[in-house]
Amino acid sequence: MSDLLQQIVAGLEAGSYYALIGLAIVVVMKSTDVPNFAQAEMGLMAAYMCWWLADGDEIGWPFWLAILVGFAFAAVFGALVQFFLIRPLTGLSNQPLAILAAISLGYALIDLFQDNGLPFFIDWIPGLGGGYPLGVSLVLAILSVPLVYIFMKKFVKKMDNVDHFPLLLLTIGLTFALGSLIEIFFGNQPQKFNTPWSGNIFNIGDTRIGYDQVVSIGMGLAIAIGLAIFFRSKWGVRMRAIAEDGTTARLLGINAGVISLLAWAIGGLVAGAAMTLKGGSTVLELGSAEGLILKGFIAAVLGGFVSLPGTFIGGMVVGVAEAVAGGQISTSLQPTMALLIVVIVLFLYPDGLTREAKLREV
Amino acid sequence: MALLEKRNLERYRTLASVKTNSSGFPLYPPKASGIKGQRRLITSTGIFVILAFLPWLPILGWFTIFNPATNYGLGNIAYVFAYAAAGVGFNLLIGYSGTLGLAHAGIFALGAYGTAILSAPQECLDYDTCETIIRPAVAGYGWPFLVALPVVCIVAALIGALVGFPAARLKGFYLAIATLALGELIVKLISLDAKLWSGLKTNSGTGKQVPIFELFGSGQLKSAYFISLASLIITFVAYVIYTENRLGRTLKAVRDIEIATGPLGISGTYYKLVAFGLSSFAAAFAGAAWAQNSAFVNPTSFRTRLLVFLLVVLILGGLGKLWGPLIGAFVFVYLRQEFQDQQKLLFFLIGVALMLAILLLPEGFASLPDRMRDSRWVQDLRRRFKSAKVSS
Repeated sequence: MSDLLQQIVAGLEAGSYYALIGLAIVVVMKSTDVPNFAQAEMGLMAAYMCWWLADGDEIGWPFWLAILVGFAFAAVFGALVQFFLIRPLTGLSNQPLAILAAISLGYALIDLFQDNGLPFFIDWIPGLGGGYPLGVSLVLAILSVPLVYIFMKKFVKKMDNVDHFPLLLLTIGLTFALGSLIEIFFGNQPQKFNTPWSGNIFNIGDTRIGYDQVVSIGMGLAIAIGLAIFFRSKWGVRMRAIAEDGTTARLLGINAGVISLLAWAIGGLVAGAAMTLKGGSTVLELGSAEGLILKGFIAAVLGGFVSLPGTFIGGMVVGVAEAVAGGQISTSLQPTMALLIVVIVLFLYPDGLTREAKLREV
Repeated sequence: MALLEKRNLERYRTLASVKTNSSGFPLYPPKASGIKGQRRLITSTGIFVILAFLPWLPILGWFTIFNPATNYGLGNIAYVFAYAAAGVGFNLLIGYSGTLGLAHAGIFALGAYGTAILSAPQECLDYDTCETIIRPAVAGYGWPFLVALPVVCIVAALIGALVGFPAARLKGFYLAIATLALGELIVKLISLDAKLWSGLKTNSGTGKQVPIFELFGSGQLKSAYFISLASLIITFVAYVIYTENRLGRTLKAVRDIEIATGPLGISGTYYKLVAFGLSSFAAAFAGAAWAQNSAFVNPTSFRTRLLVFLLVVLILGGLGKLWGPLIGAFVFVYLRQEFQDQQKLLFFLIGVALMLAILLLPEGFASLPDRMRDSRWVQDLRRRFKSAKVSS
């Protein structure tokens, strides 16, 4: 019996991470209609940031300051991704992307011109051979910046009504890029992120429950309730209006750019909270995002990609089902449980579980 | 108007090959006759003849990565063919029928594992009489490879059609999630405990040596090369034949106007399932060829990452384009080998390449000639050229 309770608590903890990632996906999906596959990786970036700021060997700030700055970073990072990458694909301006591409390519070119880092198929072009002094390569790189800008401005089409598939692929590309950026900046070793409450345990009967688990479950619930309240506020209603009918909402004077920026910031914040909690409870590692994002999507599917309570409960159910099936039936069943649940649910209710979801399809 | 239609009708009727419906109307316009109509098939055949003799041709020698004179280069070209074959199958499903089935990593694993297990020598307890040094844990059923390959591919096609069943009810994104989960499920089932699958003996997910099939005693790499090439040719020919005929047009119609094809009596589900089956066949074949080349299979190499690789191959090359997957596979394998020692940089580059491809070239490298031809600058040049000719 105490085994079962222990498994349920562990399942609720895992479920709260799934639910939070799922909620982040749903918030982004609700307002910009982008299936964000990179959500967990963005959260992981923020979690690593928190660890880096708080860890004694690195910066060594006080815990709460590090958390505050790390979460702010998560929100800003989410907004930046929307600003630079998602804008041209949702019918907004492509100028930020062009500027970013020009500057980053120019920066990379300084290196390439200075030492012969070019691949063989262009190094025979005169002027691209490499091995120039810093001044010359700086000038060459600066000269190339406007060219790249004009190129990007001309060839990145502003696209409206892009279907989900290219957006999904774009975020998959972002996942890969972010994963290697995290590896470059923070190394590939698993890191222990110490929280003030980590390691403390209390007992209910024979069941040993960690404060980590309580904090994770509580934070998950609090964020879910907070999001539900937010979507009833003025900004939340605007966000829902943009998602429901973008053109009409924009005609009514709602600024779609700002709204989707806000949604991405909130998504980044929620995902950052999820990954930080997970890092505090277990360890921070590179592979953890890959497993979480699929479960997050499963939770979002269970909520029909619109319903916040549906997503939250879906994530919790998946987590508990995994832990209980793994503990009571067979350990080999644990990783397949979530996949089985989503397949069965999609077979039985292809339109989603909630009434809201059905309305959206119509 | 009526006269014109009647005349056209007469013309269609005289062409014996055109199928007509009961009231005499042609079901689809006739194909251009002679060489013109078969141009795609002829160019493909020509290019494949060149590819088949690649190991003995001195070209590509200046590519270290694709130098066919070395084992390294030959293996890389074989990888290109295997990825391209899987990509062609994927293209039929995603590019042509517009169905977001993402179970391909699982089917690819099925091909690799299935052939390896079926063709591995049977377990032998008396080690002295065994010719091979394969551990008992990886023993299999001792089928000849050339028997195991078609069996595995056909079984994979059936499983692929089964995986495609959600396509009947789900749309777009939900279908992607469902098939992604099913594909992961296949990989998970493969890597399950040996206890559960005592017949398969997958060595509980720690990886497995692939029994090498040698084609006419030509060595492992050469035979892997030819198996990969065969997989590419077969999937290519199947792709060309199917997309140029009734099936291809119906798939396109189902993709574009499913609302209209239903009332016409075309079962969208049936055609989607056919597309799933065909593309799974290609993926399993490619997986078998890939396993022959790498000589070692491990369940972890077929996770979501492989699916992303296949998507990169498809998107960089060009969705819905015949030559897209081959171009994409060349680019992908080149990148992978060039940055082999810097895994971080490799994944960064793959990610950035995928993003740039979506933003800049949504139709892939294979669409570049078309885009150039349609660009304003080229059309302007052409017009000037024409007018200069006329005036002189």
